[in-house]
Formats: sequence, C-alpha cells, structure tokens
Amino acid sequence: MNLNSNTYYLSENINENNEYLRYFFISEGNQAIIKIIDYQFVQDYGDHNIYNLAFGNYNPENDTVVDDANSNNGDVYPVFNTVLSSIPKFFEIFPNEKIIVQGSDNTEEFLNKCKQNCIKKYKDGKCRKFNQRLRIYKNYVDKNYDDLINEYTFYGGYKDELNNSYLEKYIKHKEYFSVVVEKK
Amino acid sequence: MGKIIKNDKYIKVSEAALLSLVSSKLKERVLFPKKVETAKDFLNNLHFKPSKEV
Repeated sequence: MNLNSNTYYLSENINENNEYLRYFFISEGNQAIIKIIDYQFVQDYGDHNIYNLAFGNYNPENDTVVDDANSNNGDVYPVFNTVLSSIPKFFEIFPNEKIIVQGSDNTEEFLNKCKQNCIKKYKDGKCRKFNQRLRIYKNYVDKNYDDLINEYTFYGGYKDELNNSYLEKYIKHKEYFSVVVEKK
Repeated sequence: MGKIIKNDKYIKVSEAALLSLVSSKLKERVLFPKKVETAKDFLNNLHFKPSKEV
C-alpha cells in the first residue's frame, strides 16, 4: 500500500488500553473539514483482536461525528488515499490483529430511507447507492489484489436472509457486507 | 503541539494543534457505536469459517 504521495498529514492518537487507534486530518478541498479515521476494538476472536475501521467527519460546532455525510469537498482521492495510508500504520502498531471494514450505507435503515426519499436511485427493489462506500474500498482491493496479497490476507463477509454471517477467503469482484483484513 | 496565536476575536492554531485539540475532546468516546454493534453482531453470528481460521 504505497500511498506516500497525495495524502494529508495524519495526527495519531492511541488509547492507553488499546481500545482504539485514531487518526485525524484536515480535508482541504472546497472547505476545511476535520476527518477522523477510527480503529475501534470490537472483540477478541481466538488469539486475535478485531478492530472496526470507520471513517467520518467531525463537526466542531456541535461536537458530533458523522459517518454518513457526503462532503463533496472536491478532494475524494487525497481523502481516500489518506484513509488507506492509515492501514499500514495500524498494522505497525497491531501486527497480529485484524481489521473489519463495513459500509455505513449497507443497513436496512439506509435502504428504507432510500426507498422513501430517493425514487431515482431506488429501482426494482434495489438502491444503487446501497453499500457504495464499501464498494469504493473493494474496488481498490480488487484492482490491486495481486500486489496486496503479498502483504495482507483478505476475507469477505456476507449474510443470508436469516441474518447468519459467513466469512470466506476473499473473492475479487464479489459483493460483500464486510471485509476482514490481516497482515501476513 | 503547534503554535497557538490569540487576538481579541480569534485564536489561530496550527493544524497539528487543532487536531490534537479535537483528539483530546473525543478522548474515551466511542465514535461510531452503531458500527461496533453491527460488527459484533456479524462476528457473533458467524456460521462458517474459511479453511484458514479468521
């Protein structure tokens, strides 16, 4: 994951009990937006801990963090590269742990909102924006998979209609509910 | 921490100082609790493990 160019400066913060690792940066597009990359401990799994990777905006006016804002700040690639650049940093600190990535737009709640408010993008029982965020990460993985697997192992997570979860060795271009990654 | 400059109306802080302030403000808070819950839900309902244990 060589993304040294075209990324923003990252400020790092780690909780002393390893409950989270956070990176902060300022997106300098049309306006300055404070962004947060958050690796939050979820639970242990066997001998490893799993951290959830989430990403959002911080609003200093009302002291809130949101992960579903579409900033349209004109700097999508530097922002995306900056988020990706934090992953090797995570594994430098936690080489034996795992990361789970989920979209913020792959929930029933999101689908229902889309159904009610966005007729244009909701067609034939499907929302075109559904799971779009995870798809952006997946596209990067799919495109660079052959290089990435030299350093990382990926797993794809999906659910069935009974809400049972499944995890399998990552298959390129397959739709997933979540992606789990670990360092080799 | 970076430089902080004050006048009557504004406080000018460096990028590093600003991010450090935000970081302190959010200390010990779980920022995305719903995400943690859905991740837990997903992991606790796993019905199949790949050949290499995850």
